[in-house]
Amino acid sequence: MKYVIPVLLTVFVWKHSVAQEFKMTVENNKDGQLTLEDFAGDLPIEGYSGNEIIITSTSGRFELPEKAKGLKPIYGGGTDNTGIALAMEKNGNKISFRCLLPVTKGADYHIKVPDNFMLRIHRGCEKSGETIIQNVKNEIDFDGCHKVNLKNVTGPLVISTISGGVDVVFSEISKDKPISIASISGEVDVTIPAKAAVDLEMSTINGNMYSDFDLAADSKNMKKVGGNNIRSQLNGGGTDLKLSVISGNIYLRKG
Amino acid sequence: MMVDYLDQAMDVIYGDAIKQHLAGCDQCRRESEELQELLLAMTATEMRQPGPGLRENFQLMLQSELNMETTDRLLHEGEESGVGSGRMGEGGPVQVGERRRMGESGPGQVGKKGRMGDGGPDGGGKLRVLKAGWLGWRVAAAVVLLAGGIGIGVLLSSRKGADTPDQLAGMRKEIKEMKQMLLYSLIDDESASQRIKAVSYTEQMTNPDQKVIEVLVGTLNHDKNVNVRLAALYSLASFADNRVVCDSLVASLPRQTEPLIQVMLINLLAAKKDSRAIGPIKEIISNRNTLPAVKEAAEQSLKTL
Repeated sequence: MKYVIPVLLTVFVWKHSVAQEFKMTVENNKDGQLTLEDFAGDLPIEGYSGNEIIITSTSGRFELPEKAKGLKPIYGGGTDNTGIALAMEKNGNKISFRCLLPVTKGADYHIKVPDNFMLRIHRGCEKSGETIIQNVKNEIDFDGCHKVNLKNVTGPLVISTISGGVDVVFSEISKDKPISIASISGEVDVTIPAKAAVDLEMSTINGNMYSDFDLAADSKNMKKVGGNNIRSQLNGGGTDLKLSVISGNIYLRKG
Repeated sequence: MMVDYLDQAMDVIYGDAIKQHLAGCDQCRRESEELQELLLAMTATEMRQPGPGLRENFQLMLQSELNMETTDRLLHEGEESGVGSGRMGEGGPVQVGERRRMGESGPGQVGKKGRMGDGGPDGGGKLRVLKAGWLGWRVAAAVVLLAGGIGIGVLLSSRKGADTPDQLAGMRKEIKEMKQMLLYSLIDDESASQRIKAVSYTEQMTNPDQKVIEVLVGTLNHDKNVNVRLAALYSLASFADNRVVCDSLVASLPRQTEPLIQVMLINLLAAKKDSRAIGPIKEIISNRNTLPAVKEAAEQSLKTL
């Protein structure tokens, strides 16, 4: 029995040594920008109050085989300057990472980013997997094909996807800049604070819209523009919030 | 004054006086020659054709200017009728301009001639009579203008608040210009959200000018973000009755590869019943890369078209 704990510890430490990591120090301010391109697989991104970008891969993919000792891995898409198959470019406080792995392969990346950074993410349709973002206080631009899940964000958001749903839970709604969410065949499910002041516009061509906001009470501001298109002001109006879907439902919830 | 003199649009007496003065004063002559040169150069330059926007702007301006004048008259109406012809005798530039047109006025005004003549500048005996005659016409013009002013004033007061729409129009114009400036300055911003905001400034414009449309069409065709292109499309859709806009939308359809834009654009053109869209829509249907959702929308739209 007295060997169990050391053995467990060893296993734990070994497990962790498998996780590979790339870290870089940046300034945690609103000028910061993180661009992510061509990542495959589920991609969790988490904002935090630190000033480092930390990308971890738990796949163990980057352990060099015995025969590769003294050699470097080579990828078709570019030069890996991070050790975890990412091509990193830095321009002031604007950082971009492009994933060099082949289309079908993911590496279970997990990204931690300073929470004031702006995020721009592009994932083509060939890169499957859900994008999960939380605790980010700046603009998020997402252009992709599959499911997007955002929690505890403030906007501005500019999200477009094709077949996946979009789930967003706002902690608050940033003022001034608009929020635009568009999807072809996914469902859009948005939760905003009950007191959020927004100019709302929702449209779906083949789907339905559901909400626990009292949109009918604002009837003097409400305008039906043919089809399933609703314009309304919540709490006196403010930030533009535009949700467009072709063939999915829209859910707008009170947070 | 010198311009009038050089254009020979001036009363003969003043003209002669200036001529005499110029003969004696070197500096003035030089200045007058320079001015003449400038005027010649101005007439020599080709006339520029005003754009369609100018006419609209001018009419707006004219309307607000006219309105201000009539309101002013209305305010001074009591004063003026109290002071009577004394004030009218001052005959501002408007009245002078009207003078010739009023040349055939009836004999009723002649009676006032003597009294008003006293105020005129001294010339020769013959001139004085001539001058007095002109002043009579001037009075006639003033009377008619005042009557017109009062007429408009009465009309205005009978339709209370009729001036506010014009003031509003002026304000709207200013807001429109401001929005255009914001559109131009933000449309190249790095942040996609900011660019959407730029596009949204055009949403409430009732009659966007050519440049605004060009910027929106450029955004629809070339912006790298789908949502920004979509916002531009929404904005353009509200101007789809404009021929230029409609043409650009039809031309844009074959360029679009983004499913979201394709569907929205197809639906819009189908709703407009623009038969020119049939070709590009058939092309989209036959394209192997087109998403099923887009094909469905395209086939649906062909039925309407």
